[in-house]
Amino acid sequence: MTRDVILDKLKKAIVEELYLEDVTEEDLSEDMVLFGEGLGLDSIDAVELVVIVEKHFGVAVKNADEAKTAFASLGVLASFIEERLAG
Amino acid sequence: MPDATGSQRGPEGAGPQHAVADGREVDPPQHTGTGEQSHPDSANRSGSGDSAQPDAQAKGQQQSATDWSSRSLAGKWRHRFFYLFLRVFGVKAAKIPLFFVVCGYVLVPSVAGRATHYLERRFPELLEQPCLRARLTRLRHTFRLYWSFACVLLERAAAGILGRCSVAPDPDCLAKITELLGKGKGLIILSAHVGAWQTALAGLRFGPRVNILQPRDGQDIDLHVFEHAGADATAESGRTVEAVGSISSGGIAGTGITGDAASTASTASVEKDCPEQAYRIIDPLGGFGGLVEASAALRNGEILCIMGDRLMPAESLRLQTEFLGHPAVFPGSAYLLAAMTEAPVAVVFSRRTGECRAECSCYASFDVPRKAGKKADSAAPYAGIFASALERYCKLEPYQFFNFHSIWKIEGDNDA
Repeated sequence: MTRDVILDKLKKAIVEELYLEDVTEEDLSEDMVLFGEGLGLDSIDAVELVVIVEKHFGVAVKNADEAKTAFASLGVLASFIEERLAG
Repeated sequence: MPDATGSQRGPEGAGPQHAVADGREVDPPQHTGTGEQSHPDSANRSGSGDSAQPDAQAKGQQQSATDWSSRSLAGKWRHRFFYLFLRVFGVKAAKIPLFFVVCGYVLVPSVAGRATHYLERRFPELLEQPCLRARLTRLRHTFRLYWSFACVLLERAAAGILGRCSVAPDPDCLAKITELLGKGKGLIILSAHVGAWQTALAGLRFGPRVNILQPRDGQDIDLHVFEHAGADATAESGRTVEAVGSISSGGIAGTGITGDAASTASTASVEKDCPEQAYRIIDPLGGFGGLVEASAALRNGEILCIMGDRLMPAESLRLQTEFLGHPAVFPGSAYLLAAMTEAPVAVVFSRRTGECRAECSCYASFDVPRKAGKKADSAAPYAGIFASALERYCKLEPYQFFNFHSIWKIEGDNDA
């Protein structure tokens, strides 16, 4: 799976499964920060995101430290998944 | 006594409680539906519930509801004195100085006042009685509540230091927990600051590891049951907290469970491993409110204990529901976590039944189905179930509610 495909799948899953209002896949950019001032996700969304990543890509995010790194932005998350799939 | 499926018992059982196991949906109790997101940036979420409350009110709720600390009222030396006294003279003798400490607290207005939020709602007649009579009644209620709390804390230390404690889950509770663990989705035990909750959590033995979502102040000086053991690992080993009836992976395993004193402890993360049980404290003040670790534990089939009556600063969902006749704010993340991980929820409260004795009962159990859309709408009915169960507990055990922070303290409620 290429990084672009991962990114597209991620955008679709985030919009559909996190029930974001007034946010489309086109609104999500690669460098968008997911938590805090960016997309504004919260700790519950982090759990949802862990589930999404595992469900759609079979990649486990094991703890908060790993999540902090992987969830820095959409692009970072896509790279994280790509690395895990390659490894 | 409550039963395992949340049906009503006792004279107070006329509330709206209808919790079920196995995902059957039954009339959840009334709730205000005014759940709110604490994160201002979450405003773009569909149906977050924000619109139900003005910003100022939401802000006020956020500020007041999390304005608490886990730090003990007593100083380091007072703790050490009691730990030493316990070790040398035992539990009964330690209650003599404890009595004077409690009397002191009851007479100090700033300390006695911490019980006001609860007492005035549990005993509304306090507000109706003539002044002098109300003062005397309030004094009596405050003393009974604080004495009960002091005994619970003393016996928690006794459990850790002397190994003298018996925690007995009632048979219905054991059966329910066994059944819920059998689903293989982990289990969320939702409890509250009632009875001998800390001793109960440490004393009960289940098959899977127990994770406790609990903040620890770096300055905390009062120790958990297993921290006493860890702090004292060089002394005699094999101290026990006896659990009458335990659950192993194969089901109810019998009676009498021993603990292991050789554990290590730190204030940020405490982990205890022994053949039959392991504990881990997950810090909700850590990354993502500890929920990533919590969900990983549940997916691993483990048990997660959450206090359902206290808002953590990082709590992302606050729900308003009736409790003891007044609107109160409860955390909602536990229910969303249950929905996401498909872990069943058991509402379990402990009750101090005598010196160094406690009993656990399951007041409700339910599955939280995943629903599209509003987070608050998904979780709010279950906060209502929890509040209703807690209210039944408070009516049965009026002097064993130890949440001294006002969960009723919301904006516009000057009385709270």
